[in-house]
Amino acid sequence: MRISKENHEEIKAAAKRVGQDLTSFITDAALDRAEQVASERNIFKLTPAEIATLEEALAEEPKFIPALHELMQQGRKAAR
Amino acid sequence: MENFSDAGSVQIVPFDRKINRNDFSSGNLNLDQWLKKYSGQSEDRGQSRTFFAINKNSSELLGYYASAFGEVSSSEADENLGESRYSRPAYLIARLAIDSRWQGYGIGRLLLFDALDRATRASSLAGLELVIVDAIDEQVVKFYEDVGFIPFSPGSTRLFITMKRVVRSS
Repeated sequence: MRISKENHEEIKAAAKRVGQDLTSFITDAALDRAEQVASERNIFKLTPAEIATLEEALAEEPKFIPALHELMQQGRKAAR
Repeated sequence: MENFSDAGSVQIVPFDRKINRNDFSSGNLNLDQWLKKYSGQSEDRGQSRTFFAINKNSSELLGYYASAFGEVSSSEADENLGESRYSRPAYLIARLAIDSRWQGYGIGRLLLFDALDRATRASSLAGLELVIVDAIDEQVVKFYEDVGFIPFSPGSTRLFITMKRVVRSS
């Protein structure tokens, strides 16, 4: 990472102010920004347990849900 | 209750600046503010699409939802997963709100139908495996669970339904 002397000094001073070393300060800031960009792109991060729940649902033979069927039928009728 | 016709003739229409958004009040400040301040920008940029439930005769805004495409991926660092980064294409019902004067008339059901119907059509054009919703409270979680949505984790207000399940139940 190349960075000007001025920028380096400014970041170092800011890190010192919040009691962090330079590496963890920069990493935290970059991670915040990465999270922000991800949420703008509608990327949802799932934990391994959440992935397992989703994968189980995707793998199963799709269930017929009577309440959903009723909702879809009602909606179609109303949209006519 | 739970009858679309009780709210008069309800129609779902795409975002339209001519429809008055300023008087809309769902009781949830975030959802109301987003509609008034950001829905136009988001529409212009193509980041999301907003659909309105309006009274066919008066054009009064009764409710809305905003949808976008997205994906789910793993919270684990990618290097742990090697080449095969976990990713599933999703349709997101990002926001859904009903004006407090019209809650209990089934307008939320009509908006959800519209979103799922559009997701079904979108899934015939490009890959789409699930629909994601964020429920604003426990009561709304129950509403989604009743029609087949599954919380990502116990007690979570973020839920999903597989497209296969939507198509099978349509």
